[in-house]
Amino acid sequence: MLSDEHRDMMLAYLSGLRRGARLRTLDDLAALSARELLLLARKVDEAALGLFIQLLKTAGDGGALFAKLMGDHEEDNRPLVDDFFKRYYHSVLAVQEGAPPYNPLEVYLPAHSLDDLAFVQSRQAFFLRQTCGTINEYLDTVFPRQSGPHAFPAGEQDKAWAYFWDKVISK
Amino acid sequence: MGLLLGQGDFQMTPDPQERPEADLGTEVETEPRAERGCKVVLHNDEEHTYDYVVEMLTHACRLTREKAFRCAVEVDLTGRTIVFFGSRPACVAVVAKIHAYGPDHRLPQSMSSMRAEVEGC
Repeated sequence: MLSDEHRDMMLAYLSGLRRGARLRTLDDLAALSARELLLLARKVDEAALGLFIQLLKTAGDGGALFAKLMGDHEEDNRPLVDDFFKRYYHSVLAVQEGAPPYNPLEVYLPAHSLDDLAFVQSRQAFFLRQTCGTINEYLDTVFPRQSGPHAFPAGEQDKAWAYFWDKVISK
Repeated sequence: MGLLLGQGDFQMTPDPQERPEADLGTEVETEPRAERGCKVVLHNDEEHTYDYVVEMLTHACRLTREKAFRCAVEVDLTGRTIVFFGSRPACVAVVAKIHAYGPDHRLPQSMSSMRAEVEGC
């Protein structure tokens, strides 16, 4: 939920972009047609798109808003719709193509969380979705062993989880 | 008005190869008409990120990331979105995948999967 201050700042920002009648209230924003809204969205800086959507969410019915972002399903609006979703996609999602590789288990199941058995158990499905290569690398980090690196073969995520869980509860 | 799948590409029709039926070698056209009228509805909550929804829908419904993202936006704005059309068994299988996907590892407070249900049949 946006504060009143942020809401007023965003309305002023959008009014400046629009160069038309000033948007004084959320009702003014909600009254824009699908095409007007998408044309406005195209001018919003990518860094402000999240705030823009937050503002729209407070401006009215979510269903009507989504229909507008879909251009009211008018073919003429399709390029604007595709452009909006492409930009919003890149501004919202954390995982982007070309991002440097990292081990997701080390990030989302860090060593310091292994004392919380309920948390670890809740991440079982996430653990099982990883490749055995990722799992072996993770196990080498959190449970290094002198006999050599872990080497669960492809497809043996269940065995790796059983091994991991055994290690966690015997810590 | 929700975002409906299966009403033209503009409205995110999943490609035939994106349907779980394709995995099973089942031709959609051979199913009885009454068996094709089901849909899977995904419900919003505050325990899952956009990244999770996109990742989960690409896995469970075989949507492209772009289509999954539009579903994520819709569920965020309206509270629900239709993510799959198909026969009842196919929809039940999709719901099972969604419920088995697990919590959002990005959020420590996330402890369960998203909620989905079969509707319309």
